[in-house]
Order: sequence, then structure tokens, then C-alpha cells
Amino acid sequence: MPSTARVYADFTSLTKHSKPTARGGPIDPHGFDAALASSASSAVSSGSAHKDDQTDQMLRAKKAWEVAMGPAKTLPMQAFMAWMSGTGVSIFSILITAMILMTPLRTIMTVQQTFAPLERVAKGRPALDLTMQKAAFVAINIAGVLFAVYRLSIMGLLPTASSDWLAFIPAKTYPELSF
Amino acid sequence: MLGGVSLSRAALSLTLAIGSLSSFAHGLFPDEAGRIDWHRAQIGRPTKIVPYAFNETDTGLFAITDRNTLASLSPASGEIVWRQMFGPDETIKALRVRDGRALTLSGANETQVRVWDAVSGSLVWGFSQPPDANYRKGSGAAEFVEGSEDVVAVVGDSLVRLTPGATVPVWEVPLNATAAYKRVVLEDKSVFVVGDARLTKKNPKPRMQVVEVDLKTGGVKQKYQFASGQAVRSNRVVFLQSREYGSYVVWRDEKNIVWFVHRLGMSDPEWEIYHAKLVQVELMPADMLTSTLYEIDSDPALNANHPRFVMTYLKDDKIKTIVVEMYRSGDKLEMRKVAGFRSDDAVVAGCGIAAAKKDAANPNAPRAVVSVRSSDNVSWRVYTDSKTPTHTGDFAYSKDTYGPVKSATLYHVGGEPRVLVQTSGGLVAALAPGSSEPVWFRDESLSHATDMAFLELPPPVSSAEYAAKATDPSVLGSPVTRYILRWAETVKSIVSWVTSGFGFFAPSSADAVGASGQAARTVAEELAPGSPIVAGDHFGFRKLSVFGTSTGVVAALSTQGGSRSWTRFLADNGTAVDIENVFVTRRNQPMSSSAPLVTVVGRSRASGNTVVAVLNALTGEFADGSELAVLPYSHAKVFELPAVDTLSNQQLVGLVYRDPENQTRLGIWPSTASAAKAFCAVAEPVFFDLNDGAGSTDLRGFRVECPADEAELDSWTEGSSGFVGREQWRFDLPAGETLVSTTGYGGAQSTALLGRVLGDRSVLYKYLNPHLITLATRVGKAESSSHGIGIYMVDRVTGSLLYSTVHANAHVTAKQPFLAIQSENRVIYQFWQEGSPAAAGSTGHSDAVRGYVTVVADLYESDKPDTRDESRAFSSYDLLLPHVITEAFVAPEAASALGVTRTGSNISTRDVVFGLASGKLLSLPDQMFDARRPKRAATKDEQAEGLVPYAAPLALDPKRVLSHCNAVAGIRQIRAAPTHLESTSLVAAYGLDLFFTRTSPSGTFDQLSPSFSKVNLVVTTLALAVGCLLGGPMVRRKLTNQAWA
Repeated sequence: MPSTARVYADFTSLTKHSKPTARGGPIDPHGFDAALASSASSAVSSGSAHKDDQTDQMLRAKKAWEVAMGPAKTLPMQAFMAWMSGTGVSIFSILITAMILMTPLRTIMTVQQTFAPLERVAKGRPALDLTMQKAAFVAINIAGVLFAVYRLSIMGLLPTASSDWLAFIPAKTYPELSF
Repeated sequence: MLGGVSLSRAALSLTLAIGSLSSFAHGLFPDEAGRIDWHRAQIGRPTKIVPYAFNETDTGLFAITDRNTLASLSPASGEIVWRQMFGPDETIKALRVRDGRALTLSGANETQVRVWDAVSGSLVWGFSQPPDANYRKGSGAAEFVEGSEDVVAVVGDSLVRLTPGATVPVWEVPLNATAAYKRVVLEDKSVFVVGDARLTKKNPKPRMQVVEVDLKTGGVKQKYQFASGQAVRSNRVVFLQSREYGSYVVWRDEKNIVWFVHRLGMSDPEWEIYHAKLVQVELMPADMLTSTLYEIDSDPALNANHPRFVMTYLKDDKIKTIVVEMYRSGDKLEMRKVAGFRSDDAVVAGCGIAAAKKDAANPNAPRAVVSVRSSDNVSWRVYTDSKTPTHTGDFAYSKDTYGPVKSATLYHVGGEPRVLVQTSGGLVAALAPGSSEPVWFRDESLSHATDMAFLELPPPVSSAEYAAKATDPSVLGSPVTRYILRWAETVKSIVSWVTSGFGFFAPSSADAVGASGQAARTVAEELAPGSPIVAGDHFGFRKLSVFGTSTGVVAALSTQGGSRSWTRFLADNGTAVDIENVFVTRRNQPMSSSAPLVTVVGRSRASGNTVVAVLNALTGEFADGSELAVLPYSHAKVFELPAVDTLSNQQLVGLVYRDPENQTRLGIWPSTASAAKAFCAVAEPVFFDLNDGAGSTDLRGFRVECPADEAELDSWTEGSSGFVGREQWRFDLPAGETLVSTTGYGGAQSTALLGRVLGDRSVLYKYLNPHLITLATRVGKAESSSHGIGIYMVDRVTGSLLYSTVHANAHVTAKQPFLAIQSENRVIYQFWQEGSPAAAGSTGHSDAVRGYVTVVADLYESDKPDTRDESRAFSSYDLLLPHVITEAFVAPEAASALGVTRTGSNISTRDVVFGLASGKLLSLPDQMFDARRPKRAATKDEQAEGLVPYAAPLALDPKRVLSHCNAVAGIRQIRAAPTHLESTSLVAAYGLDLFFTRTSPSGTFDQLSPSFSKVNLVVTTLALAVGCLLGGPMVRRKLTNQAWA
């Protein structure tokens, strides 16, 4: 009599800690690693997961430093561009200077957004503290701004000389009349 | 619906675009020479006009004038055929025209005799007599010798016979200063030279002196005196010359009815004394005493047989004029009346007589008798030998415009007589028979212009605005309403432009309107315009230029095209007023019914007293209720005061004078209580400087005091003596120096920037002192080795000396004048430098230059940048001394006037305008005159500052000659006025000629360039609008389809 027993696989009973029993029960397919399959829900609570967290934070901090130092790498390039465009007041040099000035300013404005992906850890968990990186980031960008301002001043576009205020000096009055 | 909205919006924007362009259609084009500028060539008031027939058909008119010009005028049109300008102090004393040659004698002690080609005006030959210590003032006469090209002339203190091509006279007779010889009479063998004998203690009565000289050898035949009590140039003396009878002098003693006739050369005087019936006309003694003699055709060649003269006299208060002919009856000399003419009017304003040449073609030469009646009308008649006139004419003319007629000349054009009348105001008009309008006229009054003022005219009122004002003036109270009305007008004009076929088929507006913006006028309308110019243009290019002249004429001309708006002749007791200053004392006020005013200040020729007239600046009429005021004093100085009389809404004019007690006073005009209060309210303290004119040795400063008592101002009337001026300071010139000129700012002190920005962006602050005046003095005598020009910059309030320098080897003469101008913190002056070989040998010092030198002095507050006196008020009592930087340049040519351009906000740079003696108006940029120009290659900072390395010569760049091809003769003044465009300044030059133009020293940055294509702009705008109209529905359709997909 042919066996009427049917082979079937039922994944609904798949649990994390289920082990194959001798008496029967579902047999894992070849190559199936139950631990791997259920890691998504189990990693957080385990002890090894805690160790992973620390590595992750370290990596994030490192990544954040890289982000913070990013503008410093562009500074030499900007300085070169500035040198190439000269100190004369022309449309090109003004555009370059405006770029040198506006880029760091805009970057400083977006410092929070720039670091947000790195400092966010998980819901309900405290964010990663990236104050130092942010401070370095801002400082480097301020240096960029200062460079732009210096450039404006050597281009003569800063109202620092007395001639810049000449038009605003009130004319003298003349108390006497003569003919 | 949507399409409709967008269409109307597009149409509106198109209208706006076109509308905003239409106002630029007057823009400045560099090739508009002769359209943006105009030139009027003038000659001055003729002192003598000689008609001359070249042949039977061609006639010429030759004139010598009181502006030292010899001119040939076209008899048909009055245009100048050619003219020759003589030196400024070279009076032309004689003019003779014969055989296609014109002979002139000019100058005083240094006499010039010149013979010109009458057709071309070129010099044929000339003779110059060096100055003579014995020269007697007034001497000088010349005549052609008949039958040769020789000339006999009184030059200096000699009588000479000159021949072409010879540098020395054929013979020369010294006259030994015994008389001022003014007349040369030639006979076949003798020359008579007649003059006013020198008055001596022994013989104090005036009389004439004759020297008879042999024409061939120059030997003195005799010398005697005659005609006691007579002078050569008098209206009671005539010379009659006849080939047959010899030469006679006819005269009548003053207050005597007895006639005298003297035959020249009769050393044993052949007196032929006549009584009142000399001319075979019964004359009452009273009539005889009023008689005046006129010489006609004194040329003996014209009077072979019967020399003639004309006499006028009053009979029963009516003027009678008779032509008298001399003839011989046997041995006896007789005179007879050949024609007579009686004026219809009781009073005759003037009279003149002339006669044309008698020759074979015209045996009965006509004589014209011109009589001017008091009733604004000139009537004239031409007589031949019969008693009925052959030609008559009338000329409707108001003597309030150019003054009374003073002389007349007759000439012929194509056989028809023309009468040339001249008025004392300077009008020369040619009249033809049967016409009440002149054939042509020349207004020579403006060649005597002494002052000029620009009057701003209101912008043209659109007709919609005008209509609204007429119906409901309150509508125009709102600027929005006015704006809408103006736009409505613009739209209307666009519609009419489009309906007229875009102007292609309409008559050219330029032809109809002319460059002046005024409709073309006839001669009569131009002489006496029916409607004055009352509206300007949108850009302020068209203003009125109000001229005051020394001939008594005040005239207002449009600055565009020069069309006349009005003319007024000012006379005090019948004599022309010598006008010296013109001030605009009430400007055009928008939406105001009160007319703008000009105040004219002059001097009465009779008494020398100050004369003031306040005229309506738009019509030339006397302002409401005013008349010509003759003040009881003679002013020494006149200026505009920055005070407005509240009652008459009129700006005050200040007149400095000395009262009989020798107290210096400041009179004001209008001289009313409210004006006096207005003056004291705004003007304290007021200072002025005073000197005795050129040649004085000191300069004094006065302070005006307002009376402490208010009641004194309340009782101020026209008769009140002026405010007392207390002497504050006295600036004595160093010994041996005399004043040449004083120069002040004259309104050019205003500036847009208070400092000069240097290349390193620091600032040199300008020294802006409105009280600064520059004195020029003559140092030493011109002959001495130490002669020069001293320059003193003085503060007018304190009299303190701010800067001084002396230019050695320099001098000032009439031909080489000293010119100076002050503008902002800059003083520019020009003079002639003789140059000294000693200085040239030593160091190449600037004194070595022989030529015209232009010196620039720039005044700064300090020599250090960024150093400034921080006080808010500039008081002369703070005694701030300027730091002066000077530089000298070699001027391109002799100049006769200096000016500087002016713009509304002083933002555009200023050009310095030179009126060159060669008739060019040269405009040089301000930066050329920078005293800081480096004398080496410019550093980077200096380049950044725009400093051009120094070069001594100021180049005469033909591109900078504002007058381009015009020769503007005798420029005496250059004036500038701002326009509504900041880039553009109006420039006016006057003197002998008038020249008006406009210039943009910094380029026409606020105007579209000439190459700007308005057609392209309109077409592009239209194309875009059409594109929007077509593309809009397509895009909307596409979007809808996309939404359904």
C-alpha cells in the first residue's frame, strides 16, 4: 500500500529557538540558517548586539569627523580659483568671490541637516553627540567666510575706506553770505 | 475670455513700451551738427554802410561797424558775404569803395591802412604806421586817389600817400600835432586835410584847420584855419566836392541863421556869406535854427557837376526836408532846392537821407528821404529830380522793440530801390516799395550783449491737460489725474501716428516745425513775433535766453534754434539804456498764474544813474504796474540776493553804491518794506567786496547792517537809502601793482562730492569756500624787465589772503587778456607769458615758455589724505587755509573767454570751455586740468585714480571743438545751464556772434545711443505679443490633454 503520508513545509511555526527534534517536525532546508533568518527581530536584545552598537557609534563619529573636515579640503581649491580670477573687479572674480562667500554661509546654515543622519540612532534612543564635529565644521566654514571677506577687502569691495562714506558726509553750511 | 484679458494686457504693455520710447525720440545724435546747435554770425551796428555797384546788375553793401568789423552784405538777403574782424581796440575810422576795392583805415595811434578785394574780402595790400608820440586823438582819414590805385591817408601824425606793393609811403608829411585831422579832400593837384585845430590858451575857440599838400610831390602848399566855432564832424557842416567847381565847406553857426561857404584852398579866404535865403527857400529864423545838414554822395566822381546836400528843419512843428544842389551862375555860386518833402506828423523821431550813384545808366539818381513818425511807423519816399516821389513805402514798426530810426541808406537791387534803415537799438532792415514788411533784417543789438540769463520754461502742456485746465482747473490738482491725462494724450498721438501710416505719408514734421521746434516764421513774424515762446520741452533743452545789450535792447531767444520770443528797447529820456545785468527774479512756477520775471539793471547814458526795469520774462512787457525806474545813484556793483520778497514773490537784487556823503550802501530792488524785511530775515551777515575797477590799488570788504529798529523796515519805501555797509577790511596791493580783474564763483561752487578719492581709496577733502575770490594784478610796467602778473586768492568775508603767487614775464593787454574761472575747488586762469631767455638758459623753468599759459590751482583742506576740518559749518572767521596744488599748461591758442559746463546735480564731470580767438569753442575735460597729474609714469594708485601723466600742451583736439565748422567770432562770455538730463549741459557763447549748443562731458549715459534700433524693439515686442497670443491656447490645450491621458 502506498504511503499516503504527504511531505509539507509549514513556515508558520518557524521560531527563533526551535531546534530540529528527532521525533520529527519540520526540517530546515539545506542552507537554512534559522539564526540568520530571524536576526532582524533578535539582534537588539542580545549581548553581542550591544557590542555592535558601540562599533556603530564609533563609525558614526568617525564619519561625522569626515563630514566636518570636508569643507577644509575644498578651501585650497577655492583659494586657487580665487588666485586665478585675480583681484580686479570683474564679473568673473566677483562671481568666484560670491561663491567663496556664499558656499560656507549656506553650509553653516545647514549644519544640523548635514549631521542629522549621523546623530540619529533609533527611536526613543538619545542622539549621538556630534558637538565637536559640528563646531569644527562651523569653524572651518567661518574660515572660508573670512577668506572670502579678505578677498573682498583686497578687491576693494568692503566699505572700509573713508572714500566709501564720502557721499554720506553732509555738506557744510555757510553762516556768512558774500557777493 | 482669458485670451481677451491677455490681449489687452499685451496691448497695454506695448503701448507703455512705445510710449516710454516716444519721449526719447529727441535724443542726442553726434551727427546732429547744426540741429542741436545754432550759430548766428553778426557784424555789429554799422557806423557806415556803402552801397557799391560792381556793374550794372551786381550791387554790394559794405559796412564798417562799432564792433570793429568790415563786412560785405548781400543786398538781396542781408546775409554776410564775407567779413573781416579787426582787433578789439582797432576802431575802423574810414571806408571807401572804388574799382572793386574796399579801403579801410583803422586803429588809433598805430594806424592800419588796408585795401581789400570787394568780391572775395581778401586783403590786397596793407600799410601799418608805427605809434607816433605826436598823435592827436581822433585823427585818421583815408581816400583813394582818382585814376590810380594809390591812397592818401592820415596815419598817426602824418599825411601819407601810399602805393600798392611799396613798404614805404610815396611821400610823408608830418602834421606836427596841430589838429585832429578827420577829413581828406582830394582835388586834381592838391590834397586838403581838414581837422579840428588844437585848442590853445591864445585861441581857445574850436575851429577847423586845413593843410594843402601837393598830391604829386607831397610838398606843403599852405596851412590855415577857418570856420571859427565849427568842428569837422557836426550836423551843421557839409563838405561839397565837385570836379568842376572845386571843394567847398558849407556850414551854419550855432544859434545863428547866417550861412557860410568856404572854398578849400583859398588862402586869401574867399568868404561868401549868405543869409537865410541861401537855398532859395524862405525860412523863418526860428526854422533856420533847427536845421540840420546831411552830406550825400560826397564822392566827387559822382558829382561831376552839381554837388548836393540835404537839409531838414522844423516848420510849424512839422519836419521839412529839402535836397539842395550847388551850381555856378557865371562867377557866382548858387544853391537851389531840387526836391522837398514834408512829414505829416508833428514829431519826428529820426531822419536819414541817402542817394544812389549817378551814372550813365542812372542819370537822375534818386534820393531817399526817410521820416520816422512818432506813431510807430516808418514812411519813406524816393525822389528823382521831380517833385513827386517815384517810390514810397511804409514799414509798420514799433520803436519800443529796437529804438528810433537813426539813419537810412538807399541802394538798388535789380533796378528797384531798397531803403536800409538803422535804429539806435541795432536793427538794420531793408525795405522795398509797396511792402509794409521788411525784405530782410539783421538784429545787430545782440553783438553788443553784456549779460545773459537762462529762463527755464515749463514742459509742454498736453492738449488734454490744457482742455481740462480750461474746463475744471481743480481736476489738475491731483498728479494722478495729470498723469492719466498725459497718457491719454500719448495714446491718442500713437493712434494718430498709426492711422497716418506710421508717419511715412505725413509731411515731415521737421520741415513743418523746424529745428527750433517753432513753426517757420516770415521775416515780419521773426522781427516782431505775434506769440511768444511759453513752453519748453521735456528735457529742458529749450529755455529762453534773455540778453541785455549795451544798445538798450533786451531780447529773449529760444535756446533751440534761436527763434525770437520778444524784444524790448529800454530808453531813458529818449536815449538808450546801457544794460549791464539781467537776472531771472521769478522763475516759472508750475500751476501758478504769476508770470516769471527778469530784472534788468543798467545805466542811463544821460545821467549815469542806475536804471532798473522789471519785465515779464515771457512777453517782455513791463511787469504789472512797474515802469523803468531811474534810481538816484550810480551803482558800483550789482548781484542777486538769496531773499524773496513775500509780497511780490520776486527775488531781490542788491545794488552797491556810494551816497553823497561817501557812505557805502546796499540798495535793494524791489525797494519795499516787505522786501527789506525779507532781506534782513535771511541775509545776516552779508558781506561784499568793492574796488575801483581795473587799475585800482586796493580792495575793500564791507558788512551790511540791518537796522536794529524794526519800525525802520516798516517804513521802507522806494526812496529809502540802502542798508549801511561798514568797512571790514582793506586789502592793499603791494606797491607797484594794480588790479586787473577779480573773479568769483558766480554759482559754480556747488559740488556733488566733497572730496577727491585717491587711488588708495583715501580722500583729499576739497577746500570749498564760496567767499573765495581770485585777484589778478599787473606787476610793474610792461616795458620794465620785472613785469608780471600777481595772483591773490582772498576771502571776501575777512579779507584774509589764502594764497598768492607772481608770474614773471607775463602781461595783460586788450589782445592778450587775463582770463580766470573758479569751479568747485579749482581756479583756472590763462595769460600771455613773454618768456625769458635767461630762465630758458638756466633750468628750462616754466617762465621760459613764450605763449599763452593756463594755470590750474586745486585747493584742498589738507595735504594729507583723510584729514578734514570736522566742523559742520564753514565760517571764514575760522581762518582755514587751503593746501594749494598748482600746475601750468601751454594753452593751444589765444582765448577770449573761459567757461565751465553745468549739470543738474554736478554728477557728470565738468568740461572747461575755451572761447578761442580763432572762433572755436573748445571743450576740454576737467581731468586734463588736474594739478596732481604725475610728471612720470603713473603709479598703480594714480592709474586707479584716473590721473593721466602730465603733458604741458593742452591739445586742440578737433573732436572736442563744440563749434565744429562754425567760426564764432569775438566770444566774450561763455555761459552754461543744466538740463533735465544729468549728462547734458547747455552751452552758450556770445560776443560778436551767438552760438548755442549742448554737450555731455561724461557721455550720454542717460540717453539711448543713436544706434539703438527702436524699430527692432517694437518688432520684437510685437513678435513676442503675437507669440504669446498664438502659443497660449496651444499650451493650455496640451496641458488639458495631458491631464486626460
